[in-house]
Amino acid sequence: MPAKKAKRVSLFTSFKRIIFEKFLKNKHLKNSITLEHNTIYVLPSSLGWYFVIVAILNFVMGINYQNNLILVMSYLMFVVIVLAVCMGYSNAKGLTVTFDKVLPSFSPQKPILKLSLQSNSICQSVSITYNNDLKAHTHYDTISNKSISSSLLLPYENRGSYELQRIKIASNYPFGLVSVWSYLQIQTKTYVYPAHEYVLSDAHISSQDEYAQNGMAKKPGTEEFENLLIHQPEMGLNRISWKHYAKTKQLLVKDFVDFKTTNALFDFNLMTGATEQRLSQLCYLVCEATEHNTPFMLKLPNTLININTGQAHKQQCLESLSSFAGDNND
Amino acid sequence: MIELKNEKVINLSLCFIYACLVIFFSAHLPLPFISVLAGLCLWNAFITGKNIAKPNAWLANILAAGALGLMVFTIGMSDTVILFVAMLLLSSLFKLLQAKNKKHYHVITTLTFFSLSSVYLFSQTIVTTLTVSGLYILNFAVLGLLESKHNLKISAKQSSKLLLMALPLAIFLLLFLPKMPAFWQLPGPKLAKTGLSEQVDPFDIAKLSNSDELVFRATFSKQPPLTPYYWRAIIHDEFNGNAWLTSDFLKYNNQQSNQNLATEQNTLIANYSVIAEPATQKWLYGLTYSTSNSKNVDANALGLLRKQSYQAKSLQYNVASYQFSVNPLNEFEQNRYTYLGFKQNIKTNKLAMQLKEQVSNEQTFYNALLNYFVEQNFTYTLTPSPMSGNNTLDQFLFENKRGFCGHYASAAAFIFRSAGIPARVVSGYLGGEYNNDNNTLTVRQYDAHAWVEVYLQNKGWTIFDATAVVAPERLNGSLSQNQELNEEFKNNLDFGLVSLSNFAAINWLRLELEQLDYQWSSWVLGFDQEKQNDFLKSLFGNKTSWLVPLFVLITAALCFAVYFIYLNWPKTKTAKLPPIVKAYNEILHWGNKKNITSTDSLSPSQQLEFMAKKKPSASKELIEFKHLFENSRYANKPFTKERKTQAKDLIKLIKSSK
Repeated sequence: MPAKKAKRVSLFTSFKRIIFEKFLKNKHLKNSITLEHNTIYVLPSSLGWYFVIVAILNFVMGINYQNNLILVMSYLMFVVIVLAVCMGYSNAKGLTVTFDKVLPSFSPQKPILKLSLQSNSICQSVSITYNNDLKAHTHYDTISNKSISSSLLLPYENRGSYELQRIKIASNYPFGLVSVWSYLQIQTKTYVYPAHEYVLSDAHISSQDEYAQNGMAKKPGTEEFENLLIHQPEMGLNRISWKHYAKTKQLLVKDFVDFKTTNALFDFNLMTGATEQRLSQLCYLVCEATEHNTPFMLKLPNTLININTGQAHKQQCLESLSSFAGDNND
Repeated sequence: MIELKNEKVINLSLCFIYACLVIFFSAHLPLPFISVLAGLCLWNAFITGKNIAKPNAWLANILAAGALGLMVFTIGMSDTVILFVAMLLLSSLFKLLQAKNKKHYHVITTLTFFSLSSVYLFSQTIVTTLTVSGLYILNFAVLGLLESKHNLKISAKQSSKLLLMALPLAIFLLLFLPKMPAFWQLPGPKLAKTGLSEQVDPFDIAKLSNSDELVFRATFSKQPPLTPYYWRAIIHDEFNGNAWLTSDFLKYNNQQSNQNLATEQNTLIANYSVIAEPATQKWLYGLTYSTSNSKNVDANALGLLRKQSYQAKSLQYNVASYQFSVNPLNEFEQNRYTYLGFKQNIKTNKLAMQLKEQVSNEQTFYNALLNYFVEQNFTYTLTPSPMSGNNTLDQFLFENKRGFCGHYASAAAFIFRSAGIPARVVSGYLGGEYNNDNNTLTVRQYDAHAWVEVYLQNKGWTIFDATAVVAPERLNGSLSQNQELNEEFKNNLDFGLVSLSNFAAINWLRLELEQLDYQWSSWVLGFDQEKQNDFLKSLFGNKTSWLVPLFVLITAALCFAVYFIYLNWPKTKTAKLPPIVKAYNEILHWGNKKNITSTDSLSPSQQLEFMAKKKPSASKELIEFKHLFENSRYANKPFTKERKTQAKDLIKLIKSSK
């Protein structure tokens, strides 16, 4: 029984999908939609159908008992549902939904879709649902000619790149009897980046870096301890290693380097663990390196992103990490 | 699931609707079941009001099963309509008790639309209609609340607006959509109310409780016939020792009346139409020998009228009443109407024999019996002493001598039959309250009466009513108009407007309400297929068959189109001006008329100053107004009521200046 039911649902949904693809898609493939006569769909909602059924029952009862009062009740219900369709349509008409941007996220956070809503006449009780998912749903009681910015958490938690699915803009105004709806199909992708997994930075700085003979290019700095040098008078006292002085009576100076100047190579194959784990580690490294302004190169089994630095580079790397499909090399 | 914003208000509103329904149906459902429903209402209101957690599903299901059992036990399966209503109420209340999300409430509100209509199966008075309409609006408001964050007041306003808009169209549809005959026969609700019953058994009644419930109204087409009006409903032709019953023979061997025969041979007494209130019984009411040409009414050979099929609404029919035929009874009838199976009332039998010996013919026997009731000081009472045993007639005639119509009719019919004169007991209604304004007679339950019809040779069936000589006032008009019995009568009456008819104002109000009620039942409730046909014919002539649906379709479509255009018409927003600006505009308008305004574009203050210079007689007021204007527009001082009146006064002064 459940299997049968499930099959029926899927048949219905696939039928709906076919309809959508055949007839509607081109109309809604935009980044902004203003609801008008050719983009609004109006039908009684499920409550509306119940209402119609009760109206029919009342009608049958009124006819059978030849009762004028029950008949008037029934006619009243029919008239109300037609009026509700008119009201629902003119309520939704003129609503403009514009796609602003979509903010990617790090797993397990969800990406955020930013839309702006505006209507030249007051539009009541509008709900926006992403891909028929009740969790990705927001509701607005009134929308006026002041633009409202709406953010929607997209239902993606796992790493990956996702094509944006269709967004349903619906209203059940008035009394929930009719549902007036339209779609917005935004043609863009969003990413859920891998989760951060902490990993020691210098262990993964590759020796294959052709620009540095000893594996790494160093520059005097303050962050990472490098080695001890013999103290020279102009060096000052603040970097003397007093531990050594206590042991050996020899003045030694601690030398630090900065990775800022280090060119790094982050290689998928040098990471440890399962694929997702490795991607998470790489993700951490990419973020760290960008934070410290270290130029780096990202090497994945299929892709190589050349050495660079900055936000655009970071985003490119994160996106390729997100959309990484598996190592087909081995 | 989507969260509910004002669940408390929604729940309590629905609870209120169901409480009203429970109160209404308390007259039709057994007391234990009603108390269960009322308990559910209170429980629900309590836990909602106090924000207590709802009972869990197990508990609720067990309770529901228990209540269902109680329902079947107390109501029984015989009356399906009341059973269905009880089930509807019970399930809605349990659902309400457990409702948590929007979907649950949707189911309840839609069911409520059905529960509300079912009230009309039982009562269709104006008060019921108004109450149900109010609840209907409230139910719509609940639907609105489920969808938005508004409060109940706004939501109720919106829903009444929508319903008021829809109502004319719904009425239009009712008037013009061709009425269909019933699809199938449905069982009708059993309404337990009538003053009449299939048997006349007055002796165990200690107090005749009077009800002022309406039974029917009759409207005479011309001059009403002479009083008294004996409205016949049932004939009782069989005596079982205590009570007069309707024999199975009469019940099932009712041949149709031969209308032509009746029309040809007998004289017409009156033509009238009757609107009978809804009742379960099939019997209808008519004077003497009644025939009817109305569709749903059968007339039988006894001159009685019957409903053709059960109908749970008021029924309007036309009657033509004729005098009884003087044709002699055949042998079978003669035997049947003189047969007495039980002869325990020996004294009464003896009395009949004595009277018979004294007189020569049936007519003189008739008079002698009437005399007997007068001479023996019989009295009329609504509170007789109950009698039992198998000689109740003897007890009444020779010991108590007090009784109401049932006693007199039972005794008289027995005496006639004992003397070998064909007689039968008839029950129905006597009199009625005549309203001169609309030629209408209103008959209520307290007008219920029983009398005897005796077959006298050459005269046919003749009414013998001992009550007429015992309490002659009872013959003319209704009990309510009867002075002597009035006190006793009113003491017996349930509290109602009739019991207060001593006060002129209340009596006037009562008559007005009755008039309204009459119009309501004849125009709204009685609007049936026949009336609709007449109505449509008067509008469209004989082309109704195709013209009416076309007309309905076009009009409905037009209404919707107009509404749609109205909704989508680009609205020009006129920003509301602050009152002080309006006042300024008024002064400016006055200035323009007097030609003292500057044509340069000036600020209001400058303009007022300019005017003050030009018109020195009003300069003081103009400057004062300027200060007021500046204060309220630029200094953010609130425009209070005092300032408003000040502005008004200033404008008056400015305008009156020369």
